[in-house]
Amino acid sequence: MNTNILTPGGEAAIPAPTQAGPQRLTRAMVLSRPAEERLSWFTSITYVHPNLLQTVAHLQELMEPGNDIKVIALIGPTGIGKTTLIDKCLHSLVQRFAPVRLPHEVPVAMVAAPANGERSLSWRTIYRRMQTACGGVLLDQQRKAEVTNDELTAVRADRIGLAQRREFLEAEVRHRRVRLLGIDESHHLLRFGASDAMMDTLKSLADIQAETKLMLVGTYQIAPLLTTYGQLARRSAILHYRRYHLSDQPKDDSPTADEAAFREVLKKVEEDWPCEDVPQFQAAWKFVMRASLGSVGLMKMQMNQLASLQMKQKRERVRKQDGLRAFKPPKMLNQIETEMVDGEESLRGACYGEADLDDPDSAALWKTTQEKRRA
Amino acid sequence: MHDLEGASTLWREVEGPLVPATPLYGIPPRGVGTGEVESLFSHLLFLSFEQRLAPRQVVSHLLPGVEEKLGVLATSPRHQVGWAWDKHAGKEMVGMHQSAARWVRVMEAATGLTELRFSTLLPLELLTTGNLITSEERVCIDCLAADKAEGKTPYGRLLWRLGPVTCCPLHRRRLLVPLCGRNGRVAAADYGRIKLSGVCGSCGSIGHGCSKNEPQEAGPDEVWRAEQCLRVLAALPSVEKAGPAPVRAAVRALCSERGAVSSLAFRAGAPKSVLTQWLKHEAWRLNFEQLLDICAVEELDLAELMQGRLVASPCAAGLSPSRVRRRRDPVDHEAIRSALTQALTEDLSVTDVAKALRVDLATLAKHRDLYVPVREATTRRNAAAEEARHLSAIQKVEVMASNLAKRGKRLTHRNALREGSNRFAPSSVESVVLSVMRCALGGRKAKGPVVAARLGPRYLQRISEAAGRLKPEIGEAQIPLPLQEV
Repeated sequence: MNTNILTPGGEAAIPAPTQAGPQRLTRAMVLSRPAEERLSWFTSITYVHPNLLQTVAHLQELMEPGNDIKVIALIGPTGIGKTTLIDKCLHSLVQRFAPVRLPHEVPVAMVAAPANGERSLSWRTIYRRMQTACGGVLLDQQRKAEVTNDELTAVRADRIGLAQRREFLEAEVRHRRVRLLGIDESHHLLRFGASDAMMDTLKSLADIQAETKLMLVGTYQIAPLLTTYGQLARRSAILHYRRYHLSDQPKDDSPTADEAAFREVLKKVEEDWPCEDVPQFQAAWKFVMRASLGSVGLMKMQMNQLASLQMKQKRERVRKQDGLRAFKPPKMLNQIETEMVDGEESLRGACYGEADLDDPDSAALWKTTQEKRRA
Repeated sequence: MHDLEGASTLWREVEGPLVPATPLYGIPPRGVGTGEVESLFSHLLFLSFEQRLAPRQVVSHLLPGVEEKLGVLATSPRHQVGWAWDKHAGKEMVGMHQSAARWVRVMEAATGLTELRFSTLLPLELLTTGNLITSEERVCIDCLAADKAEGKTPYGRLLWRLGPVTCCPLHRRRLLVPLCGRNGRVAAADYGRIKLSGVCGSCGSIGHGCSKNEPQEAGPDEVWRAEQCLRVLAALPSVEKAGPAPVRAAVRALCSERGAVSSLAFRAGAPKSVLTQWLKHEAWRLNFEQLLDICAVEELDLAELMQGRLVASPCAAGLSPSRVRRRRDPVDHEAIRSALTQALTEDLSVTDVAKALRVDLATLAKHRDLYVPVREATTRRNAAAEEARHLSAIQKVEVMASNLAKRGKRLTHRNALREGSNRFAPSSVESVVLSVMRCALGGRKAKGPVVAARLGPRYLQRISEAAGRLKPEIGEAQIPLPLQEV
């Protein structure tokens, strides 16, 4: 029902789960199950909406092996569902861009940037994670080999430095033919300063071999990395995973496109609600949209909490007290919104699909041959 | 070369990569489909090197897990794949027997590659027999140099491991057992050595440029044999596909005329019965070198013969078989009698006589009147020698014990080891005598060695007597120290 994302061309971009998991069930089937199972089923549902579809379509365009884009940044507000989107998309990307893959190849490798409180960025940790994600084994036992005077000797494993670790990673990427090297939570990389040196390093990762692309997934904080350096901007693209905006004076009868899309998602949430007693989300769509700042991911997170609280009540009744705890308090929402607004502002005119075609000189590009003849 | 379905199924649950992948890179062996195909042993070393791992790490930490995934449970470490993996330079890995099949199965699962059996002699399993693989690695220095010149990492060819091959068919020079010739150079530390075919294991010289020996020119016979083996290796897939029947049919066709089998057996240096039985029974296999000899005398191409075709090999003209038919000369009984008589006076055994005359003991035993006295004389001599050895050991221990007593030292193995010129190894008979003697002297900490039971009552009696002689000299020195009693 609502588990498959269809691209504009009708091709399945996110495959249905293969295992006999909770998503295969319908609400009618689930309602008779214990609370835990119902909640698990509801939590696992991913709702499809236009912004998600657009992001996936753009991602697929950018992933085409023929283009010259080497660094793709998937940027969106916190909690909108970037990681979920990537998790769901990666397998289909593998199928699409590496349909025939040899058993030792790893077309896609995704890691999370470390956020372990260290004072300096541990590239060694990142390289190790990447190598593991690329299929590397027995990393601690690896040793570098040197050729001097036509003689091949090994370097002791305990003397493996960062440069050697990097070499091991490069060899892994080459041998495993990694097409997409992704770093989730890449805004963690920014906490350590020296962003130019970091971007040089990241870009060089994408340059290990011609067919490899680097994907950075993170919040608006990573945008300046790609827009500040011309060298990088030339070969990178920013995919903005947008939220839905609530108009200043929302009307029930004539909603904007964003509002209609959000209401459609709420309708689906109502249809899938894991309790007998269903809250009237559609009726309160303005409140829900405001409380989740137009972010479907944030809304889903709060709905999960609400469902969980409702299930703990006697006869699973909807109560106002549960709503108080399920939805974000205003102060926190304000903080999130401020960051979102600032981020959106910083990305204005920098994203994929936002080329400036208002220039009257560009109009000639779009005239058909017939019109040109007439002219 | 790659098995997509099988490998993906096997590695679906691997942690780490998002997409299941085999633990080893799927780099195919070099020279696949040619006579210069890489051996499985060299391939394993190369894959380990490419992953920057020591082959031992791969063999002991990676491959047992792979085999477990294949459903083979090792009952003990000895049964794990990889036990003594590099013994005789991976001989078991590249042969044509069960162990090679097991290695192929594991390596194919670990790399996702198929057809690794063509890096071994497994395709010849049903066709031929014989101990074909050499126990050491041999190399053609010129081939390795050519690899280097092409910018490739040198590799070990399966061809070089074949026993009948003594030279390189391309460079016509003999193969060498690599031996580092860097005199006075400190060999690389253990951690610095890289185990890789075509690279010196001692100094790390790529292409064995350090080799002590210079390869010699090979004769035409050697070259022809090496060329035949090269062609067989190149045709391994076809040979395996053809199976054992065509080669038998082709030889049968060759021996269709009356007396042809006897003639062929005589010329090829084969026992006639072996050849006849092989032609009769489908399950019988003929030695590879025997097949090679048949091709040599009949001027045939072995690779073609193995596929059931009789194709001439012009270069074989004038070659003789390498296997010489065993001759049976009539026994000279007079000479035997004379040798046995001489043995009585010269203190020789019947074994010595049999060796000298190249006859078996049963033949000697036919001359019972001389055979029995020679044997008895030998037994007496051996007994005397054994007794002398016992007495010598007892005397040695007695002297040492006496010396220790004079210096006020206790009679222990540790003290005995420090006894200058009288020192003896813990595994020696003197050490056993010492243990028994300590028991005889009443040392409460001393334990009688298990082997003492095999010394015999007479020997033990002598040791006891020696202990009796020592007792007054040693006194109470064997009483344990107070601290030890606590």
